[in-house]
Amino acid sequence: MIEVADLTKVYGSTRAVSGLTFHVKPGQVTGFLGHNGAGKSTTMRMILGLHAPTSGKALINGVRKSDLQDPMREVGAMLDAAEVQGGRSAFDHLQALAYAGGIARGRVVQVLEEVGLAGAARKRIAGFSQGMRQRLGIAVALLGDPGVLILDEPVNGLDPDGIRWLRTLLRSLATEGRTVLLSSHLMTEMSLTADRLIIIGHGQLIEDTTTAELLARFQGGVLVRSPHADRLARVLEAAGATVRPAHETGVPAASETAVSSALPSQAGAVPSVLSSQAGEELLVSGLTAAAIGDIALANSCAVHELAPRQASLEEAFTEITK
Amino acid sequence: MINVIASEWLKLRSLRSTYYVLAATLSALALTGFAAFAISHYFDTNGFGGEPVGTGLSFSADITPILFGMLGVLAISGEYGTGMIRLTLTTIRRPWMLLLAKAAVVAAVAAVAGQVLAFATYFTAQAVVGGRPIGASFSEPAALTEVLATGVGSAVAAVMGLGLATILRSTPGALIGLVALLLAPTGIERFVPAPWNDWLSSLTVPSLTRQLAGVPDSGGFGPASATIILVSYVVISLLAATLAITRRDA
Repeated sequence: MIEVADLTKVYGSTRAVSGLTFHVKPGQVTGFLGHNGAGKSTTMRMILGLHAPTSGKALINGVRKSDLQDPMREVGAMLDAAEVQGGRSAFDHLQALAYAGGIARGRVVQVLEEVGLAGAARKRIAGFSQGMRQRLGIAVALLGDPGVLILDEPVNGLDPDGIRWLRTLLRSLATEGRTVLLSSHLMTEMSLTADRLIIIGHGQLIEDTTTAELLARFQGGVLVRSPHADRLARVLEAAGATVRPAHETGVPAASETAVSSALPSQAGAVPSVLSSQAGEELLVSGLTAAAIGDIALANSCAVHELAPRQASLEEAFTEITK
Repeated sequence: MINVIASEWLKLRSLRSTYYVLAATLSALALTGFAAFAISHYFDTNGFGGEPVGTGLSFSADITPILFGMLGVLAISGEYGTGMIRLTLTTIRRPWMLLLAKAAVVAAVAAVAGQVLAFATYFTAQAVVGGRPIGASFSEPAALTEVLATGVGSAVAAVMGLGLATILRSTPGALIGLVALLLAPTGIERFVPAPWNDWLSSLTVPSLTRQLAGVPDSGGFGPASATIILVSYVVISLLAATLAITRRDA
């Protein structure tokens, strides 16, 4: 359980965090989202007692970090995986931290295996890839088998396999009843990992909601392409729908989104081809795709495309943090 | 607390820089051997009249505190340099525990290594001197105590280095600060009128080490005062460092 209440941090003339209040509950993975510089790391450092809040408080299991009797067994943290002394071996790095928390050597071996670094345990960290350092950082966080985990950008530098592994690990840790808070600026990744999302911008709380609720809220209408767009728009509006020309709203058509996400390198070229045959696209909300199709048939409007548009979390994020 | 000391002990011995610094202290032996050789040669050609070799500790007395001070500096400046200090601080209950543990470890290593080095220095000097009457046998007053006090001086220097690095949070800054702190009195002394110049030079760690041992004509303080001053150096270093690490955001 992490409680943040009216937390504020001012550095000189900069308000890094401003009146932030949220709770992170056990048993679920909570994503802590915000653009770079939104105040995520500062907030995490205050929770971990590294930075003193200008006002407000941040509590772990009901007390401040400095009042935890056995910190390693209560909270595990990964702040920046690059912040290690490279001259040491992975084993010595973990063992040194384990000693500080009175944690048995066996646990060091165990976490090294758990994060997949058993083979590199005796190698100097200096030679580790970013992904390996990330795994080492996660191993440190797990060392004391703590009930609260605070991970700052744990996905950074992990390959797709690593990301999947981490996702599974975090989910199972939450299922065991632990409190898991992880920060990221990658919305899409968060939507797959987190049950709950806390979104901040400019140090202030923007959203504290479930991932499902946020997705549902930004579920974006149905894209309709028709040579009889004007007539179709009138009949759909008569049926109670809200109709906007897809391009005027600045919302990309579903087909474009699909293409650009699949082929990011060609994203610039492909949409222009598509839009040349467009101009007849409507974004319809308030009706299902089936209802729109039925109405179009009843009014003899040809429909060339009928695509329910799944708003990506990334778009929702951009919209929210505007 | 024992746990944190075990942790710091592993941290210190798992970094190469520790061994490089300890290896560098061996330069004291080369320096001593060379000086003792030069003086012995002078004695052979000119007889008495030159500076005696004595215990041989004076030749490297200004260098060893700097090197052991470096050991203290590196014990924490590396953590500040990489940012690992943040990770370390999340794992312990209070920052002062970290400092105390680091101080205990570097002081112990510096005391033992400094002591070994002091004996090695003494025996190197005596071996080079051979049978010439310019050395110092352990039966002479303060010869053995001078060797024994050197370990203490090394430990004090290590804690001062640790404190300085905690306050400055930078390896180069702390190293420069360390050299300045340990050698400044010797440098300023020339520009200060008597009796303040003697008083000032009596405050350096090498000088206090000799005064602690009761070496004749080594400064203005007796062993008791020298002990109090050396202890206060340790206390001041640790208090200032604790204040810095507790008050500042990591």
